[in-house]
Amino acid sequence: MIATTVSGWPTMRGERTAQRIPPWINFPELSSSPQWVSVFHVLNWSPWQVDAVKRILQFQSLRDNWDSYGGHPPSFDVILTASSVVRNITLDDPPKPRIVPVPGGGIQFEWKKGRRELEIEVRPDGSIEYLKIDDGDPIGDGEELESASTGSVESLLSWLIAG
Amino acid sequence: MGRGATERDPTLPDFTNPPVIETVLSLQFAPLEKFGIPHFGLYWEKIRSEYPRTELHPPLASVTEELEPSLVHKSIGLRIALGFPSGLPVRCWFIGESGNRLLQVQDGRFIYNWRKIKGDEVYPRYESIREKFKEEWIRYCAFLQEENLGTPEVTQCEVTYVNHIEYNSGWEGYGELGKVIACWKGSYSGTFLPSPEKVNLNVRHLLPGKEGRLHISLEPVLRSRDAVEVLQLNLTARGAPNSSSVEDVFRWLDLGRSWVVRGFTDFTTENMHKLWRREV
Repeated sequence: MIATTVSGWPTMRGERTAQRIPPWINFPELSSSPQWVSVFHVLNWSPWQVDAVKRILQFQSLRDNWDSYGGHPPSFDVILTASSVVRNITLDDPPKPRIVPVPGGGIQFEWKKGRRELEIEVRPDGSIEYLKIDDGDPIGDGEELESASTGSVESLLSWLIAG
Repeated sequence: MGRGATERDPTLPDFTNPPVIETVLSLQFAPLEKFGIPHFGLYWEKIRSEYPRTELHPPLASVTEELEPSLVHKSIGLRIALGFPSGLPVRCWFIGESGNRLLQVQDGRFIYNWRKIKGDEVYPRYESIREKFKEEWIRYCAFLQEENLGTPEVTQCEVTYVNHIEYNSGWEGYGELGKVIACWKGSYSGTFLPSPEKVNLNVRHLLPGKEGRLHISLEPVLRSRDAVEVLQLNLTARGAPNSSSVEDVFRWLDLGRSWVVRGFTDFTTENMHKLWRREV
């Protein structure tokens, strides 16, 4: 699947090729002011969103080999993308995810509701994959989500809730 | 010349343990016609030993304080340019070795940041930040001259102090915001409303003599560094210098800084001043 792109944005290597949406796109406060200390503006966030992003931010303190199996800590870009997954859930009282680091440097969200389970993984390269599980059986092999946009994430949650 | 750059104005309020976690000094100027992407690299060569790391970010919009009523907009306020301020879609960060200092360069902007990264660093004080910024600005202007790119015509100067006020330190929550903010009464005319869950405030003041404006903003934020929710109090003074000379530009920055410090002191309570150990 081709990732959603911002065309023409130069990469760190100076290429001018298409690439994924930069993770700070969902947090204009991080890129639209000269302030350097990075903060999330949480005035309109739900308490569960604040708690979830706090948990994600705590993964910054993981060190290499944090799981004794050579695991890597997530990069700040992965942390931002995972935070945008949380930020973009606007449903009223949505099911709350379990949020765990993944050994390669990713972050995984896990939901379970009735017979249905949903996993969303922000991978180390910033791409997002999801897997639906119904009655213990995976549906497909895991699909790439085009972005962490509200519509993308909430359509998956709607499937979960409908189970 | 007035008070020396390294000499602190004794009439300014002074705190031993201020809540400031970042100071930003910024200059805006008209985009330079011949400035191009390669110049970021050429400039980096000059400063690389002191600023060994780089990052690319989108450029900031230009922001101008409108102090005269505009015939077009029929309003007095901020003018924020939409889109990229010049043809270059890049703001380059040059990060100092220690991680405390940053130079942000885009066509039309030159910004110097100092920040705390661990939380327990001693604030180096404006005088030393100002001196470093002056040194960097002079070096940048010399680079532009060397490359025949012209002399920046400074249109706006800006001073920002970012303060993080921790919860449960002199106040327990937004119901007690009056213990932090001097103008916040903290009670309603009736009894219906409970204490606010969160508060966001934006206030602005004109500097006398049409020198510019002081913007004060207060909002709850979640700090990425340590995942702690704090109250962020930003004070930004912005205005136009009399000319683009180094003397006039830094005279304006000194004025802006004075407004930021005096404004911060007036805006916050004596209760908090004691916690921040006000000396003057």
